[in-house]
Amino acid sequence: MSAPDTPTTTGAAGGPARTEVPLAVLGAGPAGVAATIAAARAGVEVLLLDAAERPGGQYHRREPRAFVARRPGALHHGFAPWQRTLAELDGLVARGRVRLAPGVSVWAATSVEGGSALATDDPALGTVVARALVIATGAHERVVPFPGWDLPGVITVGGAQALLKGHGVRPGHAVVVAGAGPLLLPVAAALAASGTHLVAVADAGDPRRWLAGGVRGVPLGKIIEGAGHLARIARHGSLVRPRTAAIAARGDGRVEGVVLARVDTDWRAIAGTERTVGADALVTSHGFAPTIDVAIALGCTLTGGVVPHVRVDDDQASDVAGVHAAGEVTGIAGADVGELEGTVAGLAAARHLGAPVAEADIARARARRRRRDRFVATLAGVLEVPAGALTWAAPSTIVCRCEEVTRATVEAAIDERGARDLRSVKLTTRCGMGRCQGRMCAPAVAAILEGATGHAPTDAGELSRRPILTPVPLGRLHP
Amino acid sequence: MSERADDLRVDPDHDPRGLTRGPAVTFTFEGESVDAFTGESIAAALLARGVRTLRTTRIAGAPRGLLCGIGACYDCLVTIEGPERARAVRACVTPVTDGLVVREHDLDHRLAPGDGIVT
Repeated sequence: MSAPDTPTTTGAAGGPARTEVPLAVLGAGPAGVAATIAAARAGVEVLLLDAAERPGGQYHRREPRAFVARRPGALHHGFAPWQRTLAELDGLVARGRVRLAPGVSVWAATSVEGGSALATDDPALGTVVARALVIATGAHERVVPFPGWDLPGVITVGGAQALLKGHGVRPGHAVVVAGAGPLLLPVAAALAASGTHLVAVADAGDPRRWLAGGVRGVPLGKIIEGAGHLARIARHGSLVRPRTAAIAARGDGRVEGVVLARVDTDWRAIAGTERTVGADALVTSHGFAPTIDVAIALGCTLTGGVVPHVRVDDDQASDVAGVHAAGEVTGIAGADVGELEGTVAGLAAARHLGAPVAEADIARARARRRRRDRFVATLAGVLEVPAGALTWAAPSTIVCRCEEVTRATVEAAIDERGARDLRSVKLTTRCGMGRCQGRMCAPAVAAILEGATGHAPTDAGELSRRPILTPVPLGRLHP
Repeated sequence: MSERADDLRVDPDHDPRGLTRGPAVTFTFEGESVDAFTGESIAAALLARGVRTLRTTRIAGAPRGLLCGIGACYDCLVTIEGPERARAVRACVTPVTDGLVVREHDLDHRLAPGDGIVT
């Protein structure tokens, strides 16, 4: 329902619509919703844009509205607090402080005089012009390429979670879950609890690496949560194999078998330990990559090496005036930290717009986020993909799925044609020119470049730089 | 609810959330009738019935299916027939509707390799 006093102007002679708002928040996951609530409570009118049907992002992904769940909180984490948050959001919508725009995609973004312009695919909204913006676009998954990763039946860990939580569908009848990162165990546990036969569950890393930052770095709640997942998986008949990776998928046109191998601390497969297990689905990913395309379009500076994120200060402000960012897009840190960042971003954006935000309030929000710095650093170490993982891909292994570019082609561009950064690899091989706009291949191409040049690419984010962010019918460009 | 042993939908005996699915719908994929439920994505409804190949690639003709599940990777493209023209959509973020006509994505193949047109 739109707030009655949100200004919306239709262009002259029935031209494209234009919606001017004080603050637009992009993404209704934990960070975006927190930013929306913080800003609205400070008195700012907020437009909350999201591509999905319901708020929650990936972390709180719900079943479709057409389904009814008797126990909706099952399979979820932090369900009750999130329901309270949504209730507060609904209250702000009812009072006209917040306008929700679900099911909307932004296909172009640019800085304009006094704010940001976002082209949306909603004819009623048209172009959104916001004086201030909070980017909370989250992250997508990173998959290290390996032979057979392009076979039907290979699904990311988050993809399996989306299938299960979003649609109540299991990924296969005999499933291998293998990879790394904080989603691995929760998703394996949820699959097991949903009647999925898990042939094997394998973690490429070592559970002990969580302790590298000192136990104080990891909230006790997370350790207990992890133990719970292990117990749930064990109860359904599986054990999690540490330091084991899926290094190949095999099959005729679909996954029929998965090759598992023990790996060393560098994630290099240990010769002689390879074993093939029968499976019809391989659920795999190796961490996350922030979804930075809108931030790049607006000119925000990125930071971080092989997998860059948006650089922000203690107020979650980017280096573009009026543009803040929060959540995974500013660095992978999980939903709880995302909420803290969202609150800071919302308050800072409100203050930027001249709303009366008490310094004590924003200082308190900043402090709460800073207290998680050690955990975030620990997580960053855990999420690093060691260089040995690059050995899984054979020369014939696809690196850029969209354009079907093999590893051999990428390496020839570097070795024989002088490509030294993402842009030159893209121009000589077509990596990143496909529909996914480099989302899936950027980390692997960057890692290959790092291996060859000794440093992360100097043009981070280059594969994701596009004037049009998502395929859009011509009729939208010129109705 | 899964009525077939090979249906990948979570069945009532192993359903922590106790789901009741939306109203039943029927669509077609490559001419074959597929039963599904309102609210499901095309990808979920097809996968539930064991259909994993959604398209073949432009250059190698290699089969592809669902990868990221959240609309980021654009691998799960299928072609939907509309009243005026066919269009490509991501199967994982497109909901099923009754009577929808879906095919493996083939709009790339209307352009022959090497004819100089870049899609």
